[in-house]
Amino acid sequence: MREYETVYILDPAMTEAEVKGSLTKYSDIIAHHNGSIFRSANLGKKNLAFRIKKQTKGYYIAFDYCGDNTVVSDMERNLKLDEKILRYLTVKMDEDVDVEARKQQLIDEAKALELAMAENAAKEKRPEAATEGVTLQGEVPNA
Amino acid sequence: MRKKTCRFCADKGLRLDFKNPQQMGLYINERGKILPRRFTGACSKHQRDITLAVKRARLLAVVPYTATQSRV
Repeated sequence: MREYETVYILDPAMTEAEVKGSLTKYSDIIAHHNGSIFRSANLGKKNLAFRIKKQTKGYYIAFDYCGDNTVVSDMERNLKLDEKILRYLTVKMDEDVDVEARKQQLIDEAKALELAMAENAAKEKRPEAATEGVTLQGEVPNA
Repeated sequence: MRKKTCRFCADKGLRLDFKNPQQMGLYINERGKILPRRFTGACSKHQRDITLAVKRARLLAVVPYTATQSRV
């Protein structure tokens, strides 16, 4: 199975509930095609580098998932039709990914990162920048 | 031209993330143009990867196409 990453930008006028709704909508599409989600993250409301559809900010949502080619075409079709989405991009990350091994790898990486951050914070005794609201395995984070 | 080692060859775990404006900002100049290899110090393979990542970042408005654009 191939691993893909989809990033899209949502209209900044959306409420929290609508953002969560959008996350679940696309998670359901992936699940419908028997794909498996490794990570889904709301990277927050960020400033855009240039105006898109007269907007200067947008919610960045990133999905990291694994599936076959029908997942991608369905996701992109829905992303194109959704009026609240300003831009989207799907990138192929890897071929021939073993789902369980990759999930485990991501968990290990997250743990190692947390450990490194904790060590740094203890050593330097100053607050480290928080990581983004990333959750593993398709849980919906609270922004 | 100094013999600078490629940052990505030296550290295998370092990944280019096109969603990260701080990382992408290292590879563009103040006008938004992609820096050539003699400034980034990357090897040819990783310079191509950097270019691809910056172009994707531009599409997603993580970095501007030109600096004049950011005066919104």
